[in-house]
Order: sequence, then C-alpha cells, then structure tokens
Amino acid sequence: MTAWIIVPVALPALVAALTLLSLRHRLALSRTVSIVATGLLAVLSIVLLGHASTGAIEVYAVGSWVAPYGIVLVLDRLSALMLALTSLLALPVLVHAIVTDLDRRGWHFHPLFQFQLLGLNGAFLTGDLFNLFVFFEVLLIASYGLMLHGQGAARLKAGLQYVVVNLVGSTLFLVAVGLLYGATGTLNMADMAVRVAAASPGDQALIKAGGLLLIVVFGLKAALVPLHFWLPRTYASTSGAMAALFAIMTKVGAYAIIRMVTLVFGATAQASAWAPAPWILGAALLTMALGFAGVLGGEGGSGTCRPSPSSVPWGSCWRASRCSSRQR
Amino acid sequence: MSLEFLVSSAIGLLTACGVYLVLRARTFPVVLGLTFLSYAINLFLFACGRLVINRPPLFDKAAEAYADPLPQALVLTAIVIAFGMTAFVVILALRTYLESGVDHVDGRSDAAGQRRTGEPSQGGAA
Repeated sequence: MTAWIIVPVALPALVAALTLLSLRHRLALSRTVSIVATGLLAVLSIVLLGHASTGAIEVYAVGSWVAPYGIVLVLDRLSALMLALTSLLALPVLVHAIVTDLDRRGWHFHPLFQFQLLGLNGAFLTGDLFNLFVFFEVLLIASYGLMLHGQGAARLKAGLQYVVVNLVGSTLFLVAVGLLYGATGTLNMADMAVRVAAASPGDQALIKAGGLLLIVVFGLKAALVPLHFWLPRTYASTSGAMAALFAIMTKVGAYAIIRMVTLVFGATAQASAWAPAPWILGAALLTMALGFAGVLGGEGGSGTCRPSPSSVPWGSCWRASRCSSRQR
Repeated sequence: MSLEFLVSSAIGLLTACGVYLVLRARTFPVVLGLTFLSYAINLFLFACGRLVINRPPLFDKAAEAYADPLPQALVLTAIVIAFGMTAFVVILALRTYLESGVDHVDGRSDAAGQRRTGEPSQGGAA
C-alpha cells in the first residue's frame, strides 16, 4: 500500500510530460489521456482515503532515503481527504473544460492541468517543509498558465498582479524556511516538531518568528482577510472552470496552516506553542464575515455559471476557524 | 569588519532595495525588486547553515569539519525557481503592456491612478 502514495504525484507528472511532448498536436487523444488519468487519480484517491480512514499513517521515503535525511511523503486522514477532494473536483472541471472547448482556446491546456494536479497532490502529501515550497511553486506556476488560458487584456492585467503577489509570498516562504532550518537544523516536519520541543531558550524567538512568518505566507495563499486582496479580481477574471479548480488552491494554504500549527507549533512547542492561534481566529472570523457579504451582495452570485469569487475564501476561512477552535 | 556584519548588512541592503522597488508598482521596477529580493533570500538561506570558511560541504579525507551542504542545495533550487519565475514575469509584463498599454501592476491607467474614476479596471469581463 505504501508505494501507492507516490502515484498521485507521479501519474500527473508522466501524463503532463506525455501530453506536452508527444500529443501536443492531437487534441482528441490528449483529451482522452487527460480524462483517463484524472479518472484513475480519482479512483486511487478514494482507495487511499478508504485506507487512511482506518487511522493508519503511511510514510513513503522517496528513493528509500531514511526519514530525517530524505524526503518523505505522508498519507494520513487529512491528506487523504484533501487528495480525494482535489481529484473529485478536478474530474468535473476537466469535463467542463473539454465540453465548453476551453482547452481549444490556447496552447498546452492539458499539460498545465496535469502539472496543477501534480503540485496540489504533492503539497497535500509531502512531509518535508522545503518540498512543500517546491510543490507550492509547481502548483502556482501551473496556475499562472491556467489562469491566463484564453488570454484577453483584463485577464492579463489581473494575472500580472496575481503572479507578483505570489512571488513576494514565495520569497517570504523561503525566509521562514531559512529561519526554521537555522534554528532547528531539519526540514522534515515531524523531526522539526521534535526539535522545536527540545529547542534551547536562545532559539525560541527565531522559531516563533519563523512559525508566524510561515502562517503569514499560508494565510496569503488561503486568502485570509488582511491578505485576500489578490483573490477576487484574479478569480473573477479567469474562466469559470478554472476558478472552480482554483477553489482548491486556497485550501492548500488552509491545509498547510492546519498541518504546521497542529504538528510543529502545537502544545509541545514551548514558547511558540499555539502562537498563531489568536491571529488565525480573528482573521478567520473576519474572512467569514467578508465572504458571506461577498456571496450575498455579489453581482454575479447567482444565475451565472461563474462562481462568485468571494465565495472562495469562505471555505478556507471555515477550515481555518475550525483549526483555531480545535486548539482551544 | 567581520564576515557576519558584511553578510547581514548585504542581505539587509538588498532586501531594502527590493521592497522599495516592489512598492513602485510599475512592472519594470517590480521585476527588478523581485530579483533583488530573491538575491537577498539566496544569501540569507546560505547564511542559515552558519558562515564557515574553507570547509568542504561533502566528504573529504583531509577535512576536520564540514560546511552544511543542505542550504547550498536549497539555494540552488531557489535560484532555479526564481530565475524561471523572473523570465515568466518579464514576458507576462511585456504582454500585458502590449495588450493593454498599461505598465501598472494593478492594471490602472495613469489617468485613473490620479482620479479613481477613470477607466474601469476590469474591462468588459466583470
């Protein structure tokens, strides 16, 4: 069972390379391959969810490198759930894009879509902080392409803003990773939790700063309230199917918040125990209020096929508020 | 001056330039600012493995101690990603400028930047 964990990462990567290199001029064939691969992914993620729901935590060491030194992929109930959510969302989105001929409106739709799935699945599965950064970049780079797919001046303008905001976010992510690595000497999340619990008093401030900075970055990806300004315009100006797929991208931020806070900055984390909790609670409540206002007051909220952009942060803020209420 | 002071002040200066340029909100300074920021981050990541001189990162029979090889690998990854993203954002900024005639990052035209009643930022898409 353990080896199957790598498949949700490897399968989209292979399909993306295949559709990019050998099927780029054969739209019908690449549509079939893309649909079949996404369907397989959905089946596999449901099987993995069934396996994880027994409470088993599976760890796959990439290249058989032992845990604190190599990169591990971890499957537990939360990551299996997010995996299933991703693939079950991706399948109807892909069908919708094909039926509405969205993939005909520009180049390389299917490779970008598969790379997006690769980044999402990887981010949900990885147990390594720097690897999380890399998968974040993969899914962001694919999302830039998908967001701009079909083009047009309005989409390009919103896209530029989206790209710049996320680049600054990635920079902050690296600062946080550097701080945490400098203070703990590890990048493996589980190992980091152990090292944070045993950290010397002199390193407490660095760890707390790194942890809070990490939450700022994830909050930016999850579009929590003071950091949400990039979202409405980006999601409103992209195509409907892509906005639906991007709904899962804010969940990556929320998932990362839940993962890092409960695992590393939990009760054992000495000075930084639950340090982000009061901030997350406030931001989540504000996001929820703003999200509801956007859903109820939005112009395109009902009657159009385009999802109201403000309804997207609502879901992530719900998760974030659950996360902080669990800490109380 | 110590090595630590030089490295930390270099990181600080690069970050300050980067933040200033990013906040100019026009595509060319923003791209330059992002580059400065990524330089600063690369140096910072490098310094995370502690500053040591003349130590090999990998196995060497004669070595008494080693430099931390992991930050070097991280910096390499970060450089590759930052390079790719810079290329992408340059092309995107050029394309946006050619299609819309605006080089503001938030897509506002110059006239609308002064009086916010100008051209609607969403075009016909909203």
